[in-house]
Amino acid sequence: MNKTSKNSKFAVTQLLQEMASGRQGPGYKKAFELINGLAKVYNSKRLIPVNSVQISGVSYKNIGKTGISFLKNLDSPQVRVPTTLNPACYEPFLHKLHLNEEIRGQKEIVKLYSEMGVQTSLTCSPYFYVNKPEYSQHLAWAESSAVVYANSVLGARTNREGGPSALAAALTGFTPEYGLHLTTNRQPQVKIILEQIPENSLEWGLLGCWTGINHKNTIPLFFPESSCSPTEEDLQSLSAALITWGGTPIFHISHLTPEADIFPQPENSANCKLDDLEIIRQQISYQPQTNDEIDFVFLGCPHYSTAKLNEVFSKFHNQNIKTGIGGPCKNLIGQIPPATELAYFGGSCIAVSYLLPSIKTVATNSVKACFYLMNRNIKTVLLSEEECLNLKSTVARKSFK
Amino acid sequence: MKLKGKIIYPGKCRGEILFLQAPLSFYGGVDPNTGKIIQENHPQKGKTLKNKILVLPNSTGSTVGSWTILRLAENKKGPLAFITKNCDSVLATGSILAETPHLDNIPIKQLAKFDELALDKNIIHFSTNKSILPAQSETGNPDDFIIKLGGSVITCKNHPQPKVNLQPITKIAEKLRGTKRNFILVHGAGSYGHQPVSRHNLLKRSLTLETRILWSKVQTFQYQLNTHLCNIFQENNLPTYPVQPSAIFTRSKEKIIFNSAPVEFLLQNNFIPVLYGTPFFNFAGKLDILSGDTICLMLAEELGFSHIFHLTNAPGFYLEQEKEKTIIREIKASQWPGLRQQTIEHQKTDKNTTPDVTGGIIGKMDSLIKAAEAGIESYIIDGNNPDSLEKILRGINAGTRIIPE
Repeated sequence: MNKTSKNSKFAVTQLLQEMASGRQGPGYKKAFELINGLAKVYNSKRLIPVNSVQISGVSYKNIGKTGISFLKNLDSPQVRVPTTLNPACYEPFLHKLHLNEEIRGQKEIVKLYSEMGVQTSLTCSPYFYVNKPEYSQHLAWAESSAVVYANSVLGARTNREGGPSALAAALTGFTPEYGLHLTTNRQPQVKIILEQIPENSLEWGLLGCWTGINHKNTIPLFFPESSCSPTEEDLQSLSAALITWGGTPIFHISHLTPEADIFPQPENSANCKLDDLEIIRQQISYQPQTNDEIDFVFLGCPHYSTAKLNEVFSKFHNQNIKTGIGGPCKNLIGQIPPATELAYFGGSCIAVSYLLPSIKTVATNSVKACFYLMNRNIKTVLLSEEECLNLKSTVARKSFK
Repeated sequence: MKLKGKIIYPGKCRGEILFLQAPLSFYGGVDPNTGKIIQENHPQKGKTLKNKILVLPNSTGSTVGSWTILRLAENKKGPLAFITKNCDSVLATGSILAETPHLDNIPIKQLAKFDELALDKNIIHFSTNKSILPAQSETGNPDDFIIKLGGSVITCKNHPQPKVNLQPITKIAEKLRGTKRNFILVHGAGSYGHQPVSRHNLLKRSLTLETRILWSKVQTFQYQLNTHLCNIFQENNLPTYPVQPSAIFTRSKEKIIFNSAPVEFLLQNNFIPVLYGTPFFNFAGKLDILSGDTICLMLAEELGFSHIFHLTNAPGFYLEQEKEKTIIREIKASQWPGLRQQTIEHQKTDKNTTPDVTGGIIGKMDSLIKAAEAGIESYIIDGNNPDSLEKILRGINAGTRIIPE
């Protein structure tokens, strides 16, 4: 060990000790306690520096007053690495519902994070907008769909953090080394042979759901039997559904994702056909009756990329049904065409928002959103993006095939 | 019975157990306003977490669960403590946010049939006999401590010649047998020190060949007493390792300094270091007595020990009025000056005082008050009654407790 690295290691230890002792203030002390506690839970040998942090726990609906007083008590410590923020509650709905306390609370949460030096990106797809991690970088990300995308598609390394542990990593600059930071824990455990290739992002999402339900917490290696070139949104949809339905934070696709072919192939295997995906869709999607009306259409969960947003905006004509499109806060994308201004859920997300009571039946192409809306007793119909955009009649079709 | 675990968030408490037969999803599975379990199909659905020691394998579900745990604590509907088998990050984050004591790596099945337990630092105590569990309000169950064995307990202090009192030493060793806790033994000199030093008035005499021989004899006497004591402890499977204090305690200009490395090394390797009051050169460069009490204080401060137990030949610190002895259960540092004056007054009228070259009970109390001011809790207990030692090891005040404020 040369002298410089010894010194810098010493400086780091000293910094962490200062944080632990509380001399740096209550925020850093709590951050250290969290990092240290998790290191104990997972028997980590050491703490490792992180390149970036994505924080969840932004929506007032999820963290409420408790979250605000927790953030306030930290006493404005500053983040030590680039840090971005998950989506918040959709404000126009709060106004319509006259939820004044919630409006104030939501603004205060974003302000408190901003005062800590967090970039108020308000997006669950930071990799499209603010922070695209590089291969093998260590991160502490809390947004579950982004965790899977970063691990699987980009080959970066992050565990699925909670909001507080991600914030603690941002404040200390460190995360305990365990789980997906270690190569051995990234190995595929089941080979999923794709007899047919999913054709749109809904079907890729259904593949994530099918895999998650049938192989819970098991890392899949998808093995396409024919050529396969999913779009970024397809992979995003797979990422979001896989972790929502199965808890699995990483996947590999043979000959496509960066780490797929560095590991030995798993012995266990299963086959998946488009029919299996259709069966799953019928199981989780609400099956509309002839008289059912769709009250709301939602696209962009997780948030679409700029290219995809513009594509959707251009297709967005004479929509009869009220529609929401999820994306980052407005300053991160260009102009929004006036026709779509009302539909744009900038910096927010349907899953973490208070919803108007008139919204009882929703159509979406997001298998992740379906999970969260279902749990809120909202009838959720899964349709492809094209079908969602072409829903002219209020009567939904029974099947999209 | 007791179990050791991994501290996720430190603390101590005692209370009723709520044993969960299945993992719990805090987000959606617990009502943060009532503390009730509402998770469908959970075997303990309908039970409330409030003020219970929650014993569970782990938690499941959304990471928002950590916030739920914090909300429960804010609403005063949360558990007193968490005890888990394989903790997960959602629950660990929650207990740290909520500052609720949490021990992990506990084989929880062993706790299933108990109603109540006590937790302190990394140890939980449980028993079908609730009365032997440590009380919540008291010191808890110290994990590290220094035991001072008074010279009056381990020797026949009034005997004109050095004479060891083997019976109490044996009983104390038997009580400590099998303990896994980190501790140091420090013993006084009793008839091996005070009598020869005061008989020859050594402290006042200049160093002649004769006095040098006498001082050397006093040091040698300590070796003999130490050997008796260590032998008995070793027969009880306790690896007592003698450390000669005058070899590591020295003087600087204004204070006593010492090299703690040998003692630390012994502790790290699970030895029990044994030190004792002994002659040494004080900061004025004169031969003096380094008392066991001073050694205790310096060791506790330097090595971070939180408790000192003084085993004396009295059941605590007491005031004597008209032959009526009243034990004072708790003394705060601020109360000491008054009590000190009263004790001095009494000693003036009492003719049965045994010679003590380190200042007797007043000298002892002075150093315990210093310890208290440094945040170290001390107890004076009866060294001739082994039950007192057992109680104090379980965190029950069995004598006089000396605390800062």
